[in-house]
Amino acid sequence: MASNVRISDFSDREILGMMGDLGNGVVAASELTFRVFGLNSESDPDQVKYGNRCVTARLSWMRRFGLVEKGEEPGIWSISKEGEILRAGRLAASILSGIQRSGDDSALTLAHAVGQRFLRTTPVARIAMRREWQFHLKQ
Amino acid sequence: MNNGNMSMLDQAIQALLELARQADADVKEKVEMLASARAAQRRVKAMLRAAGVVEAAPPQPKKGKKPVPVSEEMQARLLDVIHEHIKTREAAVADVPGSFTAPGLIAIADMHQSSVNAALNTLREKGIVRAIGRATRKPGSGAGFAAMAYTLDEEHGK
Repeated sequence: MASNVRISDFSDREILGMMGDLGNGVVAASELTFRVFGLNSESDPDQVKYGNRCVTARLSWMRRFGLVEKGEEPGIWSISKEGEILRAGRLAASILSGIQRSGDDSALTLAHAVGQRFLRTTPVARIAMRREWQFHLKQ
Repeated sequence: MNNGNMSMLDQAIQALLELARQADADVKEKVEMLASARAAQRRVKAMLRAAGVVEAAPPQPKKGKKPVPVSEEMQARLLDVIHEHIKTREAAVADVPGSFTAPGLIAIADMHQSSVNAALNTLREKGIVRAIGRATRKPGSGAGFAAMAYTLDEEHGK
């Protein structure tokens, strides 16, 4: 049973990445279930059903946050425009390197800078940032 | 006289037996109700976890050893192993070229399993690798869970 496999093992960014891998951002929830839980069409139907419920619940929340949208047909989901921008977004290598090399003594300055940036960004990006932060804190 | 006493005793025993039977049935019913209520509780909590909602319970203090920071050198070594895997091994997830699992890396790395796992987690936290789901289990591969599959993030896979 997939009870030790949790959809919360994946960040929003990774879920968006999977949606991109599967169908250029437009996927059926069932396809995403197979990918997240490592199932296939021959797997135990109860496991698949459980997985579908978890995936649909997660996608519903991501839809509230503006990262995905419901497709035209039932069970189909797509990455939203904002979700795609966030998924494809990158930090310049120099900035990333600078952050990763910063010492503990610059933690407050770093938090201040990120906080300032947080306040200037879009509501969707703000929620996405907070959730990504929470995901890493849980690890 | 004795027959009357036996009869009263029998009646008393019968009544007690009936009460015992009813009590057993009552316990069985309540146990089933408890199991059902617990199952419902687990389902709701699973849906909340799936939705990524953080529960308000205070974090449990972690026991055991402090995590050892993974050196840049170890991360670089693992990246070499990952590139080697991409060149020489089958993808862990068929439709994601270059995908790999921790066991797949451990099989070809000259590194301890714990080092591979620690370095892989660090690379994931940095966004250099991303999790792409679970590798599909092959038939006959036994019980247990399929390994988590990863790929190099687009920027680092070039």
